[in-house]
Amino acid sequence: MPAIAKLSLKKATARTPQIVTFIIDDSGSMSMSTPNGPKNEQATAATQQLIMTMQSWNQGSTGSRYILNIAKFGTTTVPIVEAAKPEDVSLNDLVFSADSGTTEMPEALTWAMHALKKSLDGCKQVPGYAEEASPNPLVIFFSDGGNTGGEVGTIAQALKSLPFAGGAVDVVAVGIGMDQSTFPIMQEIASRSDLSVNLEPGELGNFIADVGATLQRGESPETLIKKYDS
Amino acid sequence: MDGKKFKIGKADTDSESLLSLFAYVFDKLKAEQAVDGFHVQQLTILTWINDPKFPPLADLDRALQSTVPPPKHAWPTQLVEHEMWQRLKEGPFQKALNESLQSAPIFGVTSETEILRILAAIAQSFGSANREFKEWNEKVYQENIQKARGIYRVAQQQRQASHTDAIKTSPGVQSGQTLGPIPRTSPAIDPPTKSLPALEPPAIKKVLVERPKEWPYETVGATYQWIAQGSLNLWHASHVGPTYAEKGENQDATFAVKDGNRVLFALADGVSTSYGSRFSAISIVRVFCNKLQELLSNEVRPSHDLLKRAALETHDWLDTALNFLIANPEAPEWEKFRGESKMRNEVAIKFCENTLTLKDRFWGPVMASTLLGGVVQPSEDRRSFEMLALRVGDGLIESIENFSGDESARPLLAMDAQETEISASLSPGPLGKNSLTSIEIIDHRITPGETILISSDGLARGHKNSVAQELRKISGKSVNFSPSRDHAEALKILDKAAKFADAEFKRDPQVSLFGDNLSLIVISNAQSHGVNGGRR
Repeated sequence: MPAIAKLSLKKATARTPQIVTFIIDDSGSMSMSTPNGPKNEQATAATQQLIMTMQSWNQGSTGSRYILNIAKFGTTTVPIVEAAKPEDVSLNDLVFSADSGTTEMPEALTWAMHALKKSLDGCKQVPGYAEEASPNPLVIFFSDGGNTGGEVGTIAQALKSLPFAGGAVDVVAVGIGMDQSTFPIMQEIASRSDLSVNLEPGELGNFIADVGATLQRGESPETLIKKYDS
Repeated sequence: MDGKKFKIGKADTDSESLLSLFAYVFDKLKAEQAVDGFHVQQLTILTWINDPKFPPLADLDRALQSTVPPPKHAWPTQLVEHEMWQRLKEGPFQKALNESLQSAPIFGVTSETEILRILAAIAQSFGSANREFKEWNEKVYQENIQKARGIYRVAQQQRQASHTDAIKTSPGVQSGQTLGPIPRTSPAIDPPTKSLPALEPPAIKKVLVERPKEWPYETVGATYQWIAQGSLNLWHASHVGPTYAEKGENQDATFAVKDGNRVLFALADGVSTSYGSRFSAISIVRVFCNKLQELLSNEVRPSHDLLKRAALETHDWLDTALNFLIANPEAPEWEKFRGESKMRNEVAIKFCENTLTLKDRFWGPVMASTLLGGVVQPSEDRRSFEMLALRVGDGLIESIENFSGDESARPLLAMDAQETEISASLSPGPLGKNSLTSIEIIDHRITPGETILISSDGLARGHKNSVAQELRKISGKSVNFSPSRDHAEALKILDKAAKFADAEFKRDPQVSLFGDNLSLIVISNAQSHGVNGGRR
């Protein structure tokens, strides 16, 4: 019987942090009301709640179990944090006001690529960092409307193909009550077809809360999507 | 829960605060002669306690004050039926509910379960056909009412004083102007529907509370110690753990104290993701030993009940400490409480409040820690020692017949070293109180030559041996506690273990031996060698 046990699961720790990237649509249509409040207000409350929860997960550690990138996008993309620890995120900055104009998806995805690379570079500076033992980086892209920008295929493919030792970047594309005619672009953005989902608009807050539960349990993004893919 | 056996004050978890609030609310109903037509049966309320699906009691209170019919999905069916609902409005049940919610902060009652127990007892007093229960409740009422009135009076004076100060400093208020009554109830609002955001739970924050008199601060040298009592030797220590584990602070704590021919001991392991867990661990070991010492002061022998009572009083201390911290966010005590945490203050306050309200059930409690603690005293044969120990959460206790020999360790309280999440912990608030229902207690006789190892989970991580075997492997023949009078003996063992784990990590970064804070209590009976205080 071996006296020393080896790590068998990919768990987010200070030496094996998980990079989590949120890109959230802040265009005018996000102000649409739902039974659970306007979509942008759901996004604000749920992301603030999630970040507070993630701050608690870093208690007792010198490093950070999660590295965060968050941006809102509309006509332009507005980064909120890049390569940040949860405790470095100010809740006051996490406000989605649905006043960012149109839905320029390619620029948002380009920013995600930049932020992810920056985060990976930062992780490599962590003493003892073990990329192959770290959970896959998770990118979650939210939008409620059709793309008003150019084609997304090239940048989406580049994002999904970013090298990651021992795994891959998981891109999850979440429609928020999108028309069926515009939803296929989300399938193009997602890493795999089973990583795209079109939510009921009122489910946005719950979905973001479930992202937190999924991260905490170390579950796959497919498990999360299945819950909403009815 | 069996309603036929329900008696308020009989359960260990019915705190003095709860009994005082019960007496106070019961007294108000009596004073208003609102003793008929309570309508709600105690069994309805007791069933409710175990069903988490109902909205907060504060919502029920507000809905009863509203003119709109209640939503059918909310609260037990027996309450929301049209006729019953109309009877409850402005009736004794609604008065009792409102009074309980309004007065709970004053008495330090923080959970809905406690308020439901109070309502169940009142329902029993009004509705039970069995005189025994009515008489019992009357007795509990008589025993607690004077104290309850005193608590309420003091709180009212404090409230009046702060209200007066606020009025005095408010522009536009003239000297001599009389003050209006302090509002007791919130204005009526429409009842909640499923589509509306949840209403605020009972206002149990910002309570005017004083800091508990007992307020432990870690002192230099307190992280390790040797205590000898006759042929009994006890060493304890805690250590931040291997460097590779990157534990920013030591969230483990150990403590022991000699009391006559007894030695009381405790080991706590702060839950790593819980805010204030280092402060909690340091506090819990001291408060638990002190409470147990007080409870044992007039007892010949310790008992399971006394041990549980000490844990319950430690929980009550945590409740008071947290209420004090929430009410005094600028207090200097926050510095030690915060420890090395980088959590933003505004977020920390939300976590503290949530520990009491459980508004967000995804958030764990602050100040959460495991506890292994107990007492050792000579047995009647004068050669052995009786140990009584409890566990809340994880950690382990092993028995070794001869620690320096080859005998394998026998687990007295085992744990799954692969499991990194704990299902129970000692913490303030309702979750911490619920954990006390799963306390494990062992009785063990420490025979001559026997050694007991008590450890947090850190020493059990990353290997499949017993802790005793692993420490023996690491330390070789040099580990032999019996002859040592070195106060730092346990600390040296932990330091050696941490260095060994770092070397293993350097050899293979996938290895995660002892990857946590480390703590250890060693209790040894040197009786067989005939010399008090150890072999020569």
